[in-house]
Amino acid sequence: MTLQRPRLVLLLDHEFRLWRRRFSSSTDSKRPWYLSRFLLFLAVFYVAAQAGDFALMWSTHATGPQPTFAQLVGVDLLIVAFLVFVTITELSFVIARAYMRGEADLLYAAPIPPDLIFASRLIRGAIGAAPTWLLLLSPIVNGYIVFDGFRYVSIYVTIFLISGLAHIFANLLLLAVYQGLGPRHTKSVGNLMAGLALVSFIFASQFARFPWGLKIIARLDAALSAYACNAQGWPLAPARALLGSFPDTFAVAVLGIGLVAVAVPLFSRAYERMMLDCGQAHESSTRRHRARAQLPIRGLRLTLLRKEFAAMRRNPTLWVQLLSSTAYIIPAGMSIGRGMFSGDHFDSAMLAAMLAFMSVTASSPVMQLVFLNEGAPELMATAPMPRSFDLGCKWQISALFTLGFLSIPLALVTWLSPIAGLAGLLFCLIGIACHAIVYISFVDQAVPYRNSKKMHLPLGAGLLTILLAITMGALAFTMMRHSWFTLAPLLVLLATFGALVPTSKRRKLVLSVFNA
Amino acid sequence: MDAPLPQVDALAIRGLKKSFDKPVVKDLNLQVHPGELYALLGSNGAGKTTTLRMVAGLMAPDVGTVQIFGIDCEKHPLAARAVTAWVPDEPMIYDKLTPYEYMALIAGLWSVKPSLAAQRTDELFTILGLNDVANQRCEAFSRGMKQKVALAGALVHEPRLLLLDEPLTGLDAAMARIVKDLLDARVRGGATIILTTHILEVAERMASRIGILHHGELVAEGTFSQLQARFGGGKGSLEDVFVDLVTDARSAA
Repeated sequence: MTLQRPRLVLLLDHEFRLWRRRFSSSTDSKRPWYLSRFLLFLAVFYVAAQAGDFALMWSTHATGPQPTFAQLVGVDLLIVAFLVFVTITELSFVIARAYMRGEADLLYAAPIPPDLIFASRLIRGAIGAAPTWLLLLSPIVNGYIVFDGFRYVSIYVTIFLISGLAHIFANLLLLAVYQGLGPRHTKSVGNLMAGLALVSFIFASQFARFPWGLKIIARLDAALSAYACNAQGWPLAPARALLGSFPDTFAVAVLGIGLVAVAVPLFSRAYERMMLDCGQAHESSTRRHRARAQLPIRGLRLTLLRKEFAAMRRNPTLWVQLLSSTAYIIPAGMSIGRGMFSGDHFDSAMLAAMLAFMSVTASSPVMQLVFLNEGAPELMATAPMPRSFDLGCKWQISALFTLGFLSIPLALVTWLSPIAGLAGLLFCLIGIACHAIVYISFVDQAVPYRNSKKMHLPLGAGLLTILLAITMGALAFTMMRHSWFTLAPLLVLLATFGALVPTSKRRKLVLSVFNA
Repeated sequence: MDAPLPQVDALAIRGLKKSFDKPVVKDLNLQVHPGELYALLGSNGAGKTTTLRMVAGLMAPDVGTVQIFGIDCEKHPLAARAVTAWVPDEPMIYDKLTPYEYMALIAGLWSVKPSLAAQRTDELFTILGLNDVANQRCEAFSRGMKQKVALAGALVHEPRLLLLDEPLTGLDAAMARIVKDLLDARVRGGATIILTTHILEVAERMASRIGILHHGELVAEGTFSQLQARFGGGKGSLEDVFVDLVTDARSAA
């Protein structure tokens, strides 16, 4: 006799199965080398990062006294920054899930209380948000565990809990947007919020670099010190948890569980309405996009360019994604600027390479739309014109549009150093070209009788990988020279932290906790 | 001798209204009897899908009530959903699941015992020709294949009321025949089916009764022969009747 599983368990099992399989495809089992190569690359990267971090910590390690009140405030602010950052990234995930076609119909047509569906989503999301951050931060955390004691294992628990809380906040944030604006605008406004928050976040990270920024932050600093009057206050519990206090870790865990327990009965009906309405809105929008894709083709370059521009102009999500992409360019441009002012031309040249990687990020949403607009590859493939003409137009429009967006940081770099500007432009063009090759291979896959993926995909992906390697290497090298953190993805977090804790004294104190 | 129990409609819609930017369903009244195959026809935008979504509990009506086998959908939504299955025109199949996993999920959601679900899955997969792909992920499936998986999922919990929005879209002629036979068998077994379709021959041949929606209003209802007698002068196909009706309604508007 087989037993039925409780339906919450069934839903959780379903959610986690989808999560486990999100990056694999049915053809992976036929080509195990594909997965093993990826895992090998990941393992080498991880071991290198871990070794680098151990080496740095070994050379600079000095066990300090117990963390002071000022350190706790600093770490607490860092955790808040981390929470905000993860909430922003989770918001994009939550939006994508809300607008997934038909899924809400399937689940909410079943005789299951909406509470169970909402709870399973929250639990899955809360758990699923953590592994990326745990993996990214683990070389540093391992350093603390090895050099400062096993109690720092609580950092893992705290990161896990904070990521979970961020996912719950992202859901509640999207619900608030939906309640205020309705399903049609929730997606674009939610993405816009995420993009703007990211831009503000990264821009704020450069705040302390301005002369007037220091004064304002000093006032903020004094206000914060006055507000949190002792190191035992509950606002500092996350900081204490991160610094090895297990009771505080437990308190943060209770907070997370309590939040789920309160949110589920309060918001499950609203969540049901949001999921059903957003799914329906996506359906209508997809039909509109399909209708737009059926534009007449006259074989004229101008017509094609006009068509692509019209499609881009009407896509609010594209603008939001571009805005988000541009956010990464701001610190890159400013770093180049700093390098030039300080006379460190090597830094500038290296960071110009980073700009190329940013160009790939910025061109991604444009190419997604231009090359893979729903129904467009098939439509173009049947039109009476050479394939190279169509793809050439697409490449040109993508390059023009992306370079238009990159023009501000490029102009800044050129103004500071014409050679660095030229290098940046060259790198950008290479980045866009490599990216286009990858997208052309996607088009070929969409139209099977013109299948040339064997040639294009490895070529494009290989070029992109080399570009990525140069960029990451340059970034890591620049960071190492400045004795910064060894992991590139921490740049944004660290820069934000730098803005919130601007004085050299405090920065030294808090960095002593993180960087020994 | 016990008095016969009063017949409860499989679906009873009373005064249903729904508006988005403009009214989509206008004061709709509809009764579907148990064991009927009811075809809901209409032009694009007539309000068919909106009506079915409200019946499935996926959309709240502005005004009006929906009862499924006497169960008020607003007051007892879970009880109503327990006896209903809904297959939309573009069914949602998780790309990362295999058909077997999908069936297990649906059976679990409707609390079907796993052993019974496995038995029904095997039967349905055999009928629909899905055995060869039962353990492959759905991501590479054609639209017709996905349609078949969705239909199998809808039937695995043996619903008393089956709501099908364009169920034959994407199916080849042979498979469409198999699906039609399967639906016929379900109706003979006592299930009630409401389907929308633009293939009027299907409605003409299969439906016990036909309702025609135009701009959210039920402009005609009856068996094919009744519709033929009332609107087609006793001759002509359902297509002729439908086109005449819609043209008349447009010119009257």
